[in-house]
Amino acid sequence: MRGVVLGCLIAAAGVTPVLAATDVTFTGTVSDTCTVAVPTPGLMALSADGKTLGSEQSGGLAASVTIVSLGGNSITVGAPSLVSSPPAFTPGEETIQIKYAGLSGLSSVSQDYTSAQTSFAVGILPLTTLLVNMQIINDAGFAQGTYTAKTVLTCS
Amino acid sequence: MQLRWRIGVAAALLALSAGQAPACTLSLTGTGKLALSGDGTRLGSDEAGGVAAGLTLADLNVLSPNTITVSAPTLPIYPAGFAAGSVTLQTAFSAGWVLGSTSRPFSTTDQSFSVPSVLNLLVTMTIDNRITSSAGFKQGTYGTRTVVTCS
Repeated sequence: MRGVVLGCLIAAAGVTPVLAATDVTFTGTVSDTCTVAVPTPGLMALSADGKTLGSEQSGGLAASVTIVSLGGNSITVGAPSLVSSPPAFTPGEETIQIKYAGLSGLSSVSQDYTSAQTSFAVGILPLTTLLVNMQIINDAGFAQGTYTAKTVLTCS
Repeated sequence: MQLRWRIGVAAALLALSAGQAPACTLSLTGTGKLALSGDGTRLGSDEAGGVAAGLTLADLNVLSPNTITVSAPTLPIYPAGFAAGSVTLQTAFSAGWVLGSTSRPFSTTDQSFSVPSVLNLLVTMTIDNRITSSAGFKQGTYGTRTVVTCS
């Protein structure tokens, strides 16, 4: 009996709880943190010398693009392209360019006329406007009709 | 007499072998979900659409008070290109048991509390995690991890 008691006492003294731990994990997915819209499309007008069709010419209008970003995004402005032209116009010799400038939260964003794709970073941005101008330059002039040029803005 | 001694030694060995038992049993009752705040600067389980994690601790030490530690969170999962080093990671929690309760606000450091040594004590915990990024968040999946330890 004394042995049993002694054994139990030894046992009680020997119980040493070890650490117990578990990982608590949290996951979340952030999607659609950026929205791009075009409330006002641009309008191109012919220059006085007939060689430039552009939104900065008299009678032309810059396109307004609105951007909303919840941060950490990149806006890519694609190289401009000619979407449509009159049958009498032969594409291939013209130069198509865009320029853009941001307002308020994008006031530091400015790109002079270029034919290349460009991009800029945005952080947290409330609804902000980017003004985009387009021009088509053709030394041979333009045939009568409607011309449409575009650039694609991508937020990622 | 020899038999009694053997029984006693056997009991002691049995107890010693059981002496490596964990200090408690931790069971997750629900995983956490992070949701984006309206202004885009926080991703947290306390935001609308987020869910706190649930945890129960049982089989606690009945001989002495138990210390429960909740570690500062880490960010093991984030999208490529995200500036993970510039964020603030925080954990908050509340805990309750039959004789009391406690809670801690969001903190960037390890936090701990003690619960008494009461038989059959069960502690339930609700844990929140939060990531704060003044520059916002890139699109993608984020995952935080907090370690809860009892000793």
